[in-house]
Amino acid sequence: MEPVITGTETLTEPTVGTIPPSQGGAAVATSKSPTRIALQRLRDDKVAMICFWIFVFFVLVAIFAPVLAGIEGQSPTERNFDLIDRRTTFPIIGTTAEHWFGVEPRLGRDLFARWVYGARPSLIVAGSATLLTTIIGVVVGLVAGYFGGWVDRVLSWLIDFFLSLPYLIFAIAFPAVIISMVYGGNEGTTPEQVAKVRFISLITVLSILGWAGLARLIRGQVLSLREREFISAARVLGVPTRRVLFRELLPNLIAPIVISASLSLPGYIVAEAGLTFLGVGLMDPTPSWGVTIASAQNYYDSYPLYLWVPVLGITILVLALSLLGDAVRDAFDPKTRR
Amino acid sequence: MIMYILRRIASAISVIVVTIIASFCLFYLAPTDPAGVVCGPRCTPARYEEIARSMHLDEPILTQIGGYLQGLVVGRTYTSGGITIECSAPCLGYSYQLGQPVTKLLGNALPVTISIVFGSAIAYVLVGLMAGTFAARRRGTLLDRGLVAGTLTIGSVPYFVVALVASLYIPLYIRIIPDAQWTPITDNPIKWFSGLLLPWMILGIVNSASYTRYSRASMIESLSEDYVRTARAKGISERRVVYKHGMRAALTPIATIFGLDVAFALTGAIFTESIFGLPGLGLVTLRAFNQYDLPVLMGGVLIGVVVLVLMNLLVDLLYTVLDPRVRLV
Amino acid sequence: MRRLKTTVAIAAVAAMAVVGCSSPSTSTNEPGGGQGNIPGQEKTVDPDAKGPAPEVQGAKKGGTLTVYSQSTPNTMDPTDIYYVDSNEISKLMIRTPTQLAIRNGKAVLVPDLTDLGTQSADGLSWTFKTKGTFKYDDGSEVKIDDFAYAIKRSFAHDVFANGPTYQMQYFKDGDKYKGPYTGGLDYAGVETQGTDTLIIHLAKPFVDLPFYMTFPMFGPIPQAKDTKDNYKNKWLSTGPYMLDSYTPGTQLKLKKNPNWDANTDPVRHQYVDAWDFKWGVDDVANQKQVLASVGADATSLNYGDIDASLVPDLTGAKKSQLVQGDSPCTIVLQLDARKIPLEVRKAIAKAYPSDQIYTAGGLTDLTAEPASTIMPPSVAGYKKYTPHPDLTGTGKGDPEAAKKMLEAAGKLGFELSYYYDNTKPLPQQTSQIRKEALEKAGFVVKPIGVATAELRSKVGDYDAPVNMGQSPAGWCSDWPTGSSWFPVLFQTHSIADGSSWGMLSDPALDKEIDDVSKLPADQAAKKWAELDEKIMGMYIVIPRYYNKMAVVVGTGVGGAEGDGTMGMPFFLNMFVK
Repeated sequence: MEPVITGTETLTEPTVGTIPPSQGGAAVATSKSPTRIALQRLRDDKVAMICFWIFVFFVLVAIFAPVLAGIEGQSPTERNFDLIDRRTTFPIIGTTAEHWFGVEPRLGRDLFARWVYGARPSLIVAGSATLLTTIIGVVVGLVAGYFGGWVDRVLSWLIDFFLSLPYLIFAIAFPAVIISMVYGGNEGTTPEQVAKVRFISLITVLSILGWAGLARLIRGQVLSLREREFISAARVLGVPTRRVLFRELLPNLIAPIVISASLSLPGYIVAEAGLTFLGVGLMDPTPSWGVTIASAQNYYDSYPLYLWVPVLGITILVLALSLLGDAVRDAFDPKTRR
Repeated sequence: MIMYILRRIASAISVIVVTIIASFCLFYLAPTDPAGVVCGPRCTPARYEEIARSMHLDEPILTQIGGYLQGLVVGRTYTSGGITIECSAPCLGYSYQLGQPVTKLLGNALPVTISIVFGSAIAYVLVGLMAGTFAARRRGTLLDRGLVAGTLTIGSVPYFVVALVASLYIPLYIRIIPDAQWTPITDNPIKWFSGLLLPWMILGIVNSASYTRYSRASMIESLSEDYVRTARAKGISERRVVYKHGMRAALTPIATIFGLDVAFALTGAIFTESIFGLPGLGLVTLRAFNQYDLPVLMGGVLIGVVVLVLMNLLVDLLYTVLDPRVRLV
Repeated sequence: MRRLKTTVAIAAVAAMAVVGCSSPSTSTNEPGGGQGNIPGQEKTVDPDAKGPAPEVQGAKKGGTLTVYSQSTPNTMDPTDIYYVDSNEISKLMIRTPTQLAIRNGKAVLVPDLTDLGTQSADGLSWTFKTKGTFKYDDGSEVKIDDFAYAIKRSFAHDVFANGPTYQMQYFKDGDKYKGPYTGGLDYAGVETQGTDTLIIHLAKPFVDLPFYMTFPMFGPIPQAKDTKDNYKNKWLSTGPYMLDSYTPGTQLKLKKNPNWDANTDPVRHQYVDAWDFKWGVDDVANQKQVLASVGADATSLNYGDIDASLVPDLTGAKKSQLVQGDSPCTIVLQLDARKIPLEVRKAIAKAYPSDQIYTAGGLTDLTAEPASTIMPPSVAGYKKYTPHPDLTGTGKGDPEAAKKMLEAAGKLGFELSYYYDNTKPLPQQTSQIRKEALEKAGFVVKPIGVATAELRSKVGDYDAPVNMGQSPAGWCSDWPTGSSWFPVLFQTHSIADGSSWGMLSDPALDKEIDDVSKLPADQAAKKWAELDEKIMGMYIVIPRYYNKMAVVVGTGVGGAEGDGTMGMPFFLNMFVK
């Protein structure tokens, strides 16, 4: 079963009893903004810090993939047919000094290079999707909650609509349509173009299906914040709407936003890998871990390393991010601390 | 109350109708050639025309949508190679590639998905409750902490990875569990059960994580309540205390997540179906995607949306029954 | 005839390449496998064969056999069947005038519903007499008119677009008659006399017609029960099994046909109680299960070729679960002779990375053997002549030499294009390998990626803007002589028929082929071999490999062997141990 994509855990009001920084609010030297307090809590949480550094490790692996592959001296696309047994399509070597994780059957591409490069699609897709859904969700939620009236009704209906869409089924159907719309016809497309289209369509699909949860959350928050004195005060003072939205409301929404983002990131990584595994997301030659897992599943008993390397990669990354997300939520929202 | 229900139903219907129209437009406006695909390699213009006509592709888009909606409500006919095929309501279209009405295809697939989801739901709620109770009673001990850490890990790991690895290795090492396969319950109930045992088990363990945590938390909370202390003081056995009082409190939050989970899972079972080769809704849709069988794809989308909307509706309504504090705005 | 259907086949075919040479330890007892050792499928006939069919040693009655495959048959309408999978499956249900029995691994033509036919003196008509009375599965009698009707039905090519087309060329008025739905029942090519005689009138001599009559399209169909487009969902059986339930693309269940009389059938048996065909499974996972043979999997088999990843598992007792056989197919890559001049074609062959594409395609020597001729070894008249340069089915490709050839011909930078499936990894990887190799040789390569569903129609379109890789990407003998190859693939009409290798339209060649077709079988064999070498020398195809059947069966399956005429397991002798 899919993990929940956007944060739908119930959240309470923003941390009680603090005055938003924009109001200046008698900044006594020792009082800190809620965000700072939360971050401090995070830093004190050992498990969270370990997870954070694991995440940083993967990000670095992704960024420096070419360098790492270069150190090993291989590329993720070069096929080494001479290392393949022509009679069985199995590699004749295991892990060697030239191929730290061995090579893949049939095509003989280096598995270490494909692994380090494989961190990239997962992180890029998940990162973009998280960014997009956060931005869209926040904006829609703010507008719907603040303006009310028919704006709110329309936007709420939209939110409900998108929340009702079955994510996986659409994730399957969408790329088919998008790909044929963008590249239909006789001209044909190069594999690079296809890869790019699949990339973009995957991010698009994930974003379209993901923003609604956050939007609903933010809308709820804004609805309750709207009645608070500092907002009515700002309105009375004639502060332009834009300032109210972005300087008054937004800072109070940092907690739910950060929590939602940190919980959705691992969800999107899993979504990308999962969809790619089904054959619906990214495809060869993109070295995504989902691609490798899909091809390696048949070799689980005869060539386990092939399967386990990407499995461990994605498991550790997602595990770290999930725990980090939990820790972030605990830090930002004291009511859920155990 | 009535107004709320009516409004929710109206909203649900509007979602479904909009989805139909939107996906219809998307699928049929996409520059592909469903008639050409069906016609095959040695396609004569005459046959192409005939196929396009029988697929109603020569009609304006609004008529096509109208025809589709009409088919849903009343049923319609398709012509194929000189034969008219009756497609009775609800008619979700006709798959030329497979030579079958989509409704029949999906109708065969739905029981599979339902069996998987509801069976595993029972599994993971049971596992969650048992594990949570177990942990709560031994709160603070190593076992408890181990269990919590374990659920945290399992619940955070990508589901399809766990399912895949488990599906590969468990049959290898624990041979008593039969291979996963689908047999309709009407054919052979025992085979139906044994064929689903493996996926239920795996889903049960993997998805029980949050249930374990919830039931443990609420069990801990309720076990420290006064009335429980009173019960204990009165001499009621520990077991009765736990099961009668503790669990009841645990049930409410579980009921809530359960409803949402099942709704979600009904459409998300595709990984299970794909990994274990069970021909449910998700797998049929996936195959339709691979073979570009538009009618089946659209039918799958429609059913998915309907199911999800209905379940959400149900959950919302049940929630109002369960928790009167919810304001029906 | 066409091999396996769509995606699996096209992906496999598009990706596949050469087979390595001599087979090593992994291949088990080869009933003629191994390089060049495939026994000629001599054209053996047995006109006196009578039912019941000889008992298979150790055969027992009872049980259900489950048959799995990832690829699904495209149709089960007998008139429309042309792929090997549906053809082989239909043998369980459809009896035809003549049929091929498998004896000691060899195919023998025997009478089934009629005798083997008598050719008239001028060769322009054949007379077949039915051998007894037969019933359909609903109890009604088979009438001689039903044979005629079935043949007439096959001319409705707009409805049954996939079926074989020999009747259109060979039968009288075959090019004019359009089938019983539009052209009425008057057709000069087929005549019935009395209650037991069927006469076929030809436009030109057709020496191998009795072999053609083994096709399911010749199985009798009563006009009253012909439901046209719907017949593929529910058909009448004359064989030992009948339709129990059918979900197209997913499952076919067969049960015993009480109206089948074993004493009249020299080919078939009715050992098992029921058959259960399940399609659309994942081949690799399923083959693993079949190999493991746990529980119900012991009485199952998978007719997809064994996946490369499972080959190391075939050790010890499991070796006996591998069933090998011949397959009458050659797989090639086509070059359009209309668009590519000869010198350039030679350069393509020089540069072609056969070995790499072979390995990338996941081929093993269990399933494929390098090809250097048009006809595979199982066809009568196959001669292993010295391969033409670069047409051995092996080799890494020599880009430098190819480049020199191009320069010498003044065609450096010649543009090549072909279609491939860009939604599946295998064909895409293969296309990449091919592209890089050819580009290194100085070609400009423009592969056109299309979606799977559109691929079949695109590669079948001979007016498409590509100049290589069109279909058919391989060919299987419809019957084991050259007359099911050369007249079909290399004549001018082949282009219009959509089954041309190389798009040749040479009237001189047409006549040469026609002349050989008229010769009696033994003389023809030698001539076909000469033609084979000559046409291969035109460099219109790059030969890749001859298929070999290698499938896994469960430990409880008995009597499993290959049908060398189809490259499929022969179901008719199987039983549950």
